[in-house]
Amino acid sequence: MKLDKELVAASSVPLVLSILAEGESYGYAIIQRVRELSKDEIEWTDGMLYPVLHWLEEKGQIRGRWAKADSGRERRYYSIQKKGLKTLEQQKKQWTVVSAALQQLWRPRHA
Amino acid sequence: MHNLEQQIAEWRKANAPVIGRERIGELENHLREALGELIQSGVPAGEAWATALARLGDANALAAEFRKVEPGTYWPLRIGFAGWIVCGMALLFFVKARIAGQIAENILAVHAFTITMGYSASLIVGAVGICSIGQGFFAPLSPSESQRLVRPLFNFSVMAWVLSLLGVILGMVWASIAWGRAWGWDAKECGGLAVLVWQVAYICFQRSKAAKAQITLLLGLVGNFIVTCAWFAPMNSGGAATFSRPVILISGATYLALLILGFLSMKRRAIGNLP
Repeated sequence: MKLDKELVAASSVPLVLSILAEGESYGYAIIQRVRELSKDEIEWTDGMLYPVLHWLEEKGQIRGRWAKADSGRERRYYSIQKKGLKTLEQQKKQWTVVSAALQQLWRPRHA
Repeated sequence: MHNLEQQIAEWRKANAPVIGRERIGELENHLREALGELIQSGVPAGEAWATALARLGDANALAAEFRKVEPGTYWPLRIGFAGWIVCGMALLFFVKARIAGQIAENILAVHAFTITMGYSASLIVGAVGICSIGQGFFAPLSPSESQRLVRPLFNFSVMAWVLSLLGVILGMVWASIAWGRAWGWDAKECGGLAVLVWQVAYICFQRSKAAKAQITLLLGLVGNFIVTCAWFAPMNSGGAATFSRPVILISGATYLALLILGFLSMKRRAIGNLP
């Protein structure tokens, strides 16, 4: 099943913030985590993650820093900030409301 | 044999102008991670390259996405630059009207123009710093927003230095014609020299690795104080001596207070934004 582009776009911010709430991470690992969580159902063009990360950074919700990885390669690591945690809380509430409403509507009904 | 390093280098060279030099490094890292994983899982290099590239996406589409989320130039800088250009044009008309007579008068007119433009460009850099302090109490600039100011501020600082240097040189030429000496170590001349030294130091700081955008913005205030001192310093004729002292004292105290306020606000933000 392929998710609609609009749904993928709308879920990108809560997904990124939720992953970063688990701990500091970098672009490639975030994409891998999304694939793992969605069992490859959410298909992101890898590069499209970076504008989202940069936008969140502009808004002060996450912070990026360059650091050397164990492999010796420089990576840009992102960590969630106070503002990002607040946004994540709001997003959680909103997605829960939508999900609960749909669950109720789609619950099998007895005749 | 498939030369991946060469292909990565070519990809980087071709796409850096489209995507931007700062972002290309991060995307290149991503490409390398994906390639490493694919090759480790047994995919041949050529196929791994094509797959990793397809997953990363088209450079033009990526650049378009980046443009969508980019904030515009910081508004005080835009206003400052527009005002500087308008005032410069007005001043140019004024100077042009005065150029006619003797060579010394012409040199003096061009000196006044270049010094005014150079000093005011320096003042705008500091004014942007003041705006960022003020904004820090309501909607602080994010580190990346401040980072985006680095290049225009650097360009502005270089422009300020070039104009001030030209102004000081023309002032020396005029002084040698009018007063019979090019340099006399009076307060005005020392002020001009101090501005030039500060401008060079500030430009070097901006190019150094230690430079952080927010500190660069705050240090602009030091420049404002030096320029204020130079502007209001008494001339050789001594006419402005009584006027300059209170102006310098008041501006010094104000800039110092603003600088402390700015550093405190920067510190508070750094602590307050931790999760």
